[in-house]
Amino acid sequence: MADLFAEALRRIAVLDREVVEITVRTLAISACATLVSCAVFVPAAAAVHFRRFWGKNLLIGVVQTMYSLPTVLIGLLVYLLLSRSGPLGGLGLLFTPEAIVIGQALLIAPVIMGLSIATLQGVGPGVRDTALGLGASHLRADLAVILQARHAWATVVLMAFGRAVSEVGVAMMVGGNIRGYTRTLTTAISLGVGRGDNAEAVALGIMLLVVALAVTVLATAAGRLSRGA
Amino acid sequence: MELELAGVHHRYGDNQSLRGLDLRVAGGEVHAVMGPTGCGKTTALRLAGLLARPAAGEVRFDGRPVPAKGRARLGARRRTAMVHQEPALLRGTVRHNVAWGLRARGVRGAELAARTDAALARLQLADLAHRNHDQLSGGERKRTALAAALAVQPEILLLDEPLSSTHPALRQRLREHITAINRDLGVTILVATHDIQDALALAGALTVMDQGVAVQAGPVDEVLHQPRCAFVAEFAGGANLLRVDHSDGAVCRVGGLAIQAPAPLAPGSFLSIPPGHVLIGLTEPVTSARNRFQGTITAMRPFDYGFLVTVACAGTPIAAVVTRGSVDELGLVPGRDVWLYFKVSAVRSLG
Repeated sequence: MADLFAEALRRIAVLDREVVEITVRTLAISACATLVSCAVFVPAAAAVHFRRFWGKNLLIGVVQTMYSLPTVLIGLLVYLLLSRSGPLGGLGLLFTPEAIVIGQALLIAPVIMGLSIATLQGVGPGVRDTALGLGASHLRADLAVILQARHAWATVVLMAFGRAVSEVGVAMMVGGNIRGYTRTLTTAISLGVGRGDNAEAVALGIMLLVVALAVTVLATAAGRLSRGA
Repeated sequence: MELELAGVHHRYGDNQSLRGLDLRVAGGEVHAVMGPTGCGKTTALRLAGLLARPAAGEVRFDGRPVPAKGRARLGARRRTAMVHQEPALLRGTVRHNVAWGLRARGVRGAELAARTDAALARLQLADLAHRNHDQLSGGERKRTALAAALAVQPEILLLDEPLSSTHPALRQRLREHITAINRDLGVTILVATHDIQDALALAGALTVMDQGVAVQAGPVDEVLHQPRCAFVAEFAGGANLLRVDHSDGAVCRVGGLAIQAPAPLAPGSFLSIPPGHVLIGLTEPVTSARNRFQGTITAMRPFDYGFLVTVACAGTPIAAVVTRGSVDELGLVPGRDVWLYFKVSAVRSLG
């Protein structure tokens, strides 16, 4: 066991090409997925929060229950969409990094929407009332509320990124775990164990742990800033 | 600018907050809306500031209905500014907050700086301009919110309980600021309050509300001295508002009474004695209280935590709040002769 860890740490220390490449690709894919999902679902969350409509509370409840949506379920959905016979099959995206980005973006959508709504609720109605009372347009008043919670947004982004980077189901099903192309930390660990290359699996596992730890530390710091500010 | 709410109705969920409220505020006046908590004061202000829409009825500026939507409604809303009861400041410095409304209206450059500086100076906030919003006391927050509203130069200023939860010194200071804003800038002010003394100190006109409707409106003197219903009378009577006929130094003549006040009061001005500060005894008390009067109980009604006992002293009614226990112990009933006494410090000048 000690030899195994020693070999894993050696590979990290010498910046083993495979380990570095997979780590960088994983970070890039999950960062893209987080970016895409935030671009779509933060405004969606704002729309839900700021507008009144029938079934609003039900919708928020549904979103919150989807936090722990099984990753393979999203993987299956995206696979069916992107497969040759699926509605988006013509785009030829299956087994590409873009497919993983789409899948992860959908996977973390409930997290982003739910936490965004909670963040906006945390600001309270006073800020929007103040802004409107000073002559702001509704859009500008909404923006004032969004900006009021700026540190909390870092927590939302980091939590979503953390969920994306540590998932395996989507990356495996729609990425295909293709070496040098769609292989990510989680799929590579799975493969490494399967083919008996435990040292690589442990090295990649340590890298995943470091990423997850960094995300947790940053999210905690952002949360503290948010509460203290 | 003249403001009018004509027969407005409003509902929050199942709660009907306004039921055909009529309210008219003349241009340049300070108009108080007074009534108990939950009577619809804040909703009336929100409708006046176009922050909410009435379910029925009409909001009019200068006699014309305000636009229902679009840029025209935003333009109408920008003729007003509202300061909420618990002002939520935006993240940033006092200066950022005061300038915020101007920026939202597209004011930039030298004009932005000049108008921000003027508002900061008027509310005596220049020294705090660079202090962060979360480092301010309650009073500083209220003044910052008031300065921000003032900076946008509204034609009508809507103030929701601006003096609530403030200590006496700050209360007096804020009263002076609000009065000066109206006097110096000619801004029409609609102020919601549940405190009759604030209404008296600030406003020339008064609308008393109860359960979403106006029960009486008019000049403050008229409303308080010629109440048209028991509800208004209770508000007026609950404050012991007395008009000073003439004064000899700090001794004020009110009807047949000589009331000692902390300072001389001008003839025609009002003084107030909070009923909670008035004590009742069966014999002439030996006490340090300088104001002692004999009279006869003319009315008793449940009030707050006990009874509001009204005693006619030389023809002038003065009310005292007495607990149920004391009423029983002293055997207080209408027609009984009693002594009233209160300290000089209980006498408040209302200008």
